[in-house]
Amino acid sequence: MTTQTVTAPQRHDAVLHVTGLTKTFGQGALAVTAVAGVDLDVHPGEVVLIMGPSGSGKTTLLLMLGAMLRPTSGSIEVAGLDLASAPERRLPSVRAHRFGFVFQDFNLLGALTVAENVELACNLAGVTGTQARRRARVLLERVGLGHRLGFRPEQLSGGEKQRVAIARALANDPPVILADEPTANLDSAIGRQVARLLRQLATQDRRAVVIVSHDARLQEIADRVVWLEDGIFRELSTMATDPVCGMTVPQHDHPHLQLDQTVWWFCSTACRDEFATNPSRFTHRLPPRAAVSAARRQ
Amino acid sequence: MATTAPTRTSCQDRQRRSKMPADHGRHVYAALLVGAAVAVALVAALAAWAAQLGGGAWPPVLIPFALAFLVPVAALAWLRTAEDADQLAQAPGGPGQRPIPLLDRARRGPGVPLARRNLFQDRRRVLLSTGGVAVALLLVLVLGGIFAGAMRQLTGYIDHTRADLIVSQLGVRTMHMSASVLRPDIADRVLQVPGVAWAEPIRYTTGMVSSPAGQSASYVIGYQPTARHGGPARLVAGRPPGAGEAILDRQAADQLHIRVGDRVRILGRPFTLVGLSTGGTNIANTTVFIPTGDFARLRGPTQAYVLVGARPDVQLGALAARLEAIPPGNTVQTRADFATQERRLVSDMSADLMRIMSGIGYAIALAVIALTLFNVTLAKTREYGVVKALGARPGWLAATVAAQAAWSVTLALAAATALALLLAVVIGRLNPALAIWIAPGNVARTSLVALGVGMAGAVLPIRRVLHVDPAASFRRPT
Repeated sequence: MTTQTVTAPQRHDAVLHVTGLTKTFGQGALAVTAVAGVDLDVHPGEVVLIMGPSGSGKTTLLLMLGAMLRPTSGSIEVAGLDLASAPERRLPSVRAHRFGFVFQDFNLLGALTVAENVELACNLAGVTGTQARRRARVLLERVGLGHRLGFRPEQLSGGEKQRVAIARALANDPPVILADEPTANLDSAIGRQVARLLRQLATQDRRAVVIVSHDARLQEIADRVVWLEDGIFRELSTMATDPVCGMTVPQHDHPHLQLDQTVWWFCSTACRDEFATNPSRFTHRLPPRAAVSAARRQ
Repeated sequence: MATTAPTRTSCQDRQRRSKMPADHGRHVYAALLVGAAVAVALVAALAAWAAQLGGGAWPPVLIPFALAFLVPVAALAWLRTAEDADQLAQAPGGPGQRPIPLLDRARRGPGVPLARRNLFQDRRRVLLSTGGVAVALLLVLVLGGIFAGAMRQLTGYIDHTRADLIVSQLGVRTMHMSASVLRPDIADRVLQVPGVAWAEPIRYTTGMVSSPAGQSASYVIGYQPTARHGGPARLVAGRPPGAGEAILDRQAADQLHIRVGDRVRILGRPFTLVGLSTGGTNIANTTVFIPTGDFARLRGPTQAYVLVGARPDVQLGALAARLEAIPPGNTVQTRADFATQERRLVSDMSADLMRIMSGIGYAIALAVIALTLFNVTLAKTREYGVVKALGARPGWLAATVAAQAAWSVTLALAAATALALLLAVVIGRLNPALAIWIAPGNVARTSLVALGVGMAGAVLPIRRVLHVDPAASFRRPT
């Protein structure tokens, strides 16, 4: 039986391969385990959303994935390099070349212009001068800010700042983008735009995007949603798109229908019944994510 | 929101590269041309400095500024070829792509000047901190300038005697703080030595020149007014003295409110002022000339020094040895050595004071630089964490902070040097006795020490930056 949604691909495809990742702060009786034995594979073109309550270990996990915090045990392989055992002096280079970071508070440098913020990330990745400036311009045009190159961050709206941050995250052409609450400081409409942009980066550029967030709206763009609680994954949902209304729904615990060895998931029985009356009316307008999933499945 | 074509950015980059105009290149050229214009202005401004130093000092002053012209021109040519090469270059160096050679990367230009941007983000802070450092360095430069000026004035009489050798009592090597006693007929004996073209004895002591308006410490020189040597360098008013008459330096005369024809007391005896000279007054004392006969009547027949002119074909070393052998033995030095000894004596006397004052100046500069950098670093701690998270290496961060220190010091040095030159001109006009000589060596020495102070001031901020946790960029600001 098949479904129209993403199924976990094989490990050798993974750009980010995490095994038994554990982080314990303190020692003895005071020891607190923030992340306990997490396993996770993230593949090119995939958006993984990590959700969970405050203090569940989301940010700790993200810091370890981004080579900014050493795990107590376990391994993190990024493009063949184990970050957990890599020497400290190599980590800045790993961050500069293999990760793009998107922060909740944008974290743009106030002394630099928009273009220089992106150019700086190019510089850190080893590209300087004219090439860095051109790349910054291209990236900013891509996120729709080609007309704001000389602006200071303080002159931008929240959504524009986050788009600059996304352009900056792309400056080093990273295989993995790590985003920490990317929509938390944005209003609903702008947050949705930023979410779509992240989805676009995964789909079009074949980058792996890992998002840590409280924002349930991000489920709409995620291929998988991981619920982290007390440092362990409690629930792992593979997301599907309702072909009738376009809503993103987890595959479990929702109405579904099997048709020609493909399982379709719906937000409600009403959608399922409408689909059942004439499936061909809906299957031709599958969203990109479902289409990609179907291709990968084949 | 952007809806551009679904291709990898690096591919877009490759496609666009060939179409893009070299806007940035033009900006760089414009900046370099402005830099060249600034260099022209600097040369013009420093012409005054060079004039102050005298003709012989022009080359060392102008060579660096000639380079300032050549560097922008060379850079223009270099960038032009670099830009041509850029058109052919591959995609920016990223993972899996061919790394860009270091030289090639350098030719494409520097990275974002984060240090400068951070420093200049708050212009008031830059103004205050640069001003503070500049004032401290100004103190050091002006102190050094006053000292150097005094040294030049101190040997003004010796420098203008045109003597090849100076004979003094055995063991006496200076005029300042010294008393030299030579036999009355020493000049005749010196003239008998082969190789001597002329010999002019002078009598010398230190004393006070008094007028109803006050008194001034003075070198008192007894000389033969009819002789060609031994007298004042230049008479600006009046005539050579006869018996009971004297010549005083014009600046001292102004300070004592006396004119040609007035009466003054020298060594306790009245003299009539018949002439005014120049170049004999410094911050410590002045110079007065009286006829050698009057001097002998006041202080006895002994001579103090003999100024000696050598024949053109004579080796000075050999002649000095012959003069030293005149009984009962004498000390003979070239004019330059005599002046050096004179300066060294005064320098040694005031070195401790100079060191203390300069040390205070440098300490103030250190405090201001350290405080400014620490404040800038503290205000940017989170941003440094972000940059670290983005992959900045410790060396890169340290270099950024050090560059801020270097910028502060360089700006302050430029301001301090300009102000010191201005002060030298203004004070020189207002009070010629207080000569401030801003020597290139003094500026170079101050620059080196100031840069060292700047680096020392950057140590604490660098330590702080190196300890910033990149993970802090993921925490909410408080």
